[in-house]
Amino acid sequence: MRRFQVAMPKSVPGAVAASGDDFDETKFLAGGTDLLAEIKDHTQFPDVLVNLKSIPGLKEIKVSDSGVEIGALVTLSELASHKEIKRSWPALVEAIGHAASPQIRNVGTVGGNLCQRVRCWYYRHDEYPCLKKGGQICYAQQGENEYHSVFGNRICAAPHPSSTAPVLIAYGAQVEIHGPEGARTIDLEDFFHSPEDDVTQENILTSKEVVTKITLDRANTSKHSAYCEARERDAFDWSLCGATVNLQMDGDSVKRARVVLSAIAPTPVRRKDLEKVLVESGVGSGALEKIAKLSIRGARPLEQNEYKLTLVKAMLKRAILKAVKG
Amino acid sequence: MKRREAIDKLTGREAYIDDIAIAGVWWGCTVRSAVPRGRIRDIRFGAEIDWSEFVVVDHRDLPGPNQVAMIENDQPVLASDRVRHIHEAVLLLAHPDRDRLREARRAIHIEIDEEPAIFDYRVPPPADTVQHGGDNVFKRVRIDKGDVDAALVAADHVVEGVYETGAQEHVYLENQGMVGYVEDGVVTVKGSMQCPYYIHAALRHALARADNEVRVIQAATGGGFGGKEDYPSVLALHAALLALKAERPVKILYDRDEDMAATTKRHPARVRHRTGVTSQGRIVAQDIEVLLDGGAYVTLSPVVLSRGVIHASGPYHCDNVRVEGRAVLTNAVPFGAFRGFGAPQTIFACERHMDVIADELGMCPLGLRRKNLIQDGQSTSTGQVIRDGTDRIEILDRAVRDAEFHQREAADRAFNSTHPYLRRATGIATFYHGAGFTGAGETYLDSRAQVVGLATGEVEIRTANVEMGQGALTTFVKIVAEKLAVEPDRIRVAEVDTFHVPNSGPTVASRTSMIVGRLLERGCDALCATLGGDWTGDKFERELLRWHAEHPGQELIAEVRYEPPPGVEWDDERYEGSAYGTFAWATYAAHVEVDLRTFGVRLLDFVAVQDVGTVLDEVLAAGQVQGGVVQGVGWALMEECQFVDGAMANHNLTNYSIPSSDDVPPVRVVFYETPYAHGAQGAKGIGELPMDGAAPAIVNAVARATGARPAVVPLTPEVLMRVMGSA
Repeated sequence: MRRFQVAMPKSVPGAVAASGDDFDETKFLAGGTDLLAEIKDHTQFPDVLVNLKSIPGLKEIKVSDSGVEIGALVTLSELASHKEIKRSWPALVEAIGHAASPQIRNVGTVGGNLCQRVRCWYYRHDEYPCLKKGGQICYAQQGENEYHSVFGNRICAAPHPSSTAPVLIAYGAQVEIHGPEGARTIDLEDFFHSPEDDVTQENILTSKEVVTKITLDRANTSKHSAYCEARERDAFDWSLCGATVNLQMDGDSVKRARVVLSAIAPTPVRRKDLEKVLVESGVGSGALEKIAKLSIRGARPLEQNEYKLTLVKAMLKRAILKAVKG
Repeated sequence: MKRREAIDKLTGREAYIDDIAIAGVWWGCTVRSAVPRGRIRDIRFGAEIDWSEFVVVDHRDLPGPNQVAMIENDQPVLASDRVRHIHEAVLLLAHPDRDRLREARRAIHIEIDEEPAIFDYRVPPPADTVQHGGDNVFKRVRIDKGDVDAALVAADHVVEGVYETGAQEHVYLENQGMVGYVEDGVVTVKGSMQCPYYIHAALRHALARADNEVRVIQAATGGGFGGKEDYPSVLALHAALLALKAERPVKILYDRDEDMAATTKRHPARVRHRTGVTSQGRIVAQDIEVLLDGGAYVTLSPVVLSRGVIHASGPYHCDNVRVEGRAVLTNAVPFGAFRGFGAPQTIFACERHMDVIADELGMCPLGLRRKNLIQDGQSTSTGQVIRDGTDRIEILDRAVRDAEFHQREAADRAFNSTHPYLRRATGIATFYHGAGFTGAGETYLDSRAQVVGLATGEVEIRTANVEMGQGALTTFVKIVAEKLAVEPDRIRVAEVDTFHVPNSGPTVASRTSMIVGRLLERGCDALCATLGGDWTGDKFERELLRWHAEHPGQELIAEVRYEPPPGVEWDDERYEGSAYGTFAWATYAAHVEVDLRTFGVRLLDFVAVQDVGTVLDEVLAAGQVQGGVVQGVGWALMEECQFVDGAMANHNLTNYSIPSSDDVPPVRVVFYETPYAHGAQGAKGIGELPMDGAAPAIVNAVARATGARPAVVPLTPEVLMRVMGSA
């Protein structure tokens, strides 16, 4: 592992001030479950780690009448065991339960989970200078692509692995970002960007910007919300495909819907087309078949991952049925 | 008694080789071949690196023969003119900075004129790929008992089957690592290992040094499973060569990628069965062919083959048995020792085949086994007469009872007939495992152990056998404490250091507790004899203190040597006689659920019943069984080494999946304890046995659940899908 320095800022502006002009220079460190592994694997070489854990106040969960504010450094375990989260945002707890292992969830943070890098063995191996690392090609296109994206994969096929991001998007979460110009808040949905925007990064953050808070509004949650994912192994494994559904129901009809697919594209994918069908056609078996069929439109499976299309349909149907049940 | 080193391990105080800081140490790394076979034409050192900062070692730096001393000495320490597999070591580098080392490794270009290679061990080698003898066969072994051909002709039915098992990675928690240094003219290596004296011999040979000019010290070892039996000899030589040339300590630590890519794996195997049976289910002839992929060098393949062949006919009595075994060369990274050592491969075949035979005859698989299980007075394939008093039928019946085989069969039938896509069933495997070295191996090892009476009144145990997670340390202390009736905290265990401990043999082959433990018991007797009586407890300590008072400044060492149990004779030419001092016996039962949509197999319940002689420590013994079963579950269902040109392509833990705690139900362990007169307190070997039974029990269950006939492990969903597609 290459040597690096650690900065221990005492405030968010201090952290921003300690950060450099590009990602090779500095990286923000939260739980470190992804970043330290990358440094050990020789895929990241920052000179300075700006340790966010030295900043007070980033580990709080504040509950109010309107919703909840989650500090970026709250660990996944803390979040999943929080009484109010369990009561009002059940799909988030479900998704966290699938993430990595208990040991990693005890250390990994919710902010870090949103900012983690992609799942791709070419990206994660130092011998492959892929597009994400400034190289010229995506090795997965013609290579071993069993676990890669089936949507939006023309430039880079690495899927985004987060299982909390799709659920938070489905719950309409907002993220607070601090940078040199101060703080701003955006919809989490707009936080991620595609390889077409910038293949080397999965989100809009510059090297001087940091996620400090995630906000959930009660108006956007529902007991009719669910997360389903498929994995190869029962624990400690990556999602092969995830589906999150958040429905506002009135009797049998769907008033509002949010549908987000994950682990099948370089970002979590909100599917407004499917939401529209849910609102227009409901959740009967005919509608489900229609949604399933529509869900894989535009997919571009690679040589080894056509099976993910089956998973997309199955996970989506399961999530809808589970959500309807409430 | 608690595990001796438990607190150190739990608190992280235990010092593995990575944790041991050494002043002035440099880091070593290995430059490897990128092609499977060829002639080295040129090695270019890139101009972007200042090579004067580095120590570079190649084959010319070897003081002695360029051979890793093992069975055949065919493996070079560093390739000289040719390579035989991808990742074969060609050069070694040392530098104070590990990152510079990585850059330097990339700047070295080994130019190799490629030659035709062979990767499929099942096909006869084309002439231009012959690299060993005239036919690439490393070793042939043959067992002949009775008249197989005549018995096959006379049999009511002949049932045939072909079974294949894949390679497996050990995935010990701690990667391989070794430091080399020279101290007072003595070349010393310290690191993670199972067999200090194997390394000692390898260093002596290739460094051309005398016994007392090389020294091997074991550091805390984080798991081995056979992976640290043969390979550490290679690594120790590399560390020693770098230390000699650098004139300073050099440490080599493999990361997980390198460890999985470059070190040994379990031998892939294909086993063919042709079995003659009567209409009543009596087995009258077994004609078996065992073929192992040895990889590019001989390593331990001949003895892995030997154990595989001896276990191939299963725990059954049959008057006519022929087993022909071969281990052949391929241009794959060499295969080596792995828990079970050839037996899991052949037992998988035998036990799957038993279910196929039962199927063909329309018999219950339990009945078929009951009918043929060896009884006292009957003999194994090598003619070894079993007379150990173990009730093998009861072991089988207990597993059947505990697994509720018959009740579940009815319940599963009802479930399967109504459920749209889930299918459940129970499968069983009945098997045995010979403990200790095969044949005359233990006699040849000539193991020695010491029990030392210290001037403090304490006792010190000196053996070359290592604690690697299995609990040897605790078991040894327990054996001596109980023998002398002294408190465990009055017993010390000497650091495993070839300057201080005698050669009690390698920590392999399920031999440590049984054989070395027995040596320690005899050492206690010898110590007491010197003290003039059969002392125990406080009296023992008083006598010990009195001896030291009478012999000031002297050491009281009781050393004992291995003596073969009476009646143990082995003919290595004819493969006849007592293959092992004793066998452990077992029946395992697996209850599974198969998803016909995904072809995924979920294990619902697992029962492991065995007789391992006296159980020395209930917790450690159950741990061995549970761990072995989990390793077997991985081998059976998910651990797939994907080879490209003879090298593992998925050499990391995200792409090579091993079972997690959610993939395995609680393993219900039952022990029967029929004491073995020549093992410590009556113990038999236990370490490898549980590796043998999980895969056949699980795959038999899958076969019963689906009606298909899977004959391959790992039985991944993809493989099962293909099997069911053709069914």
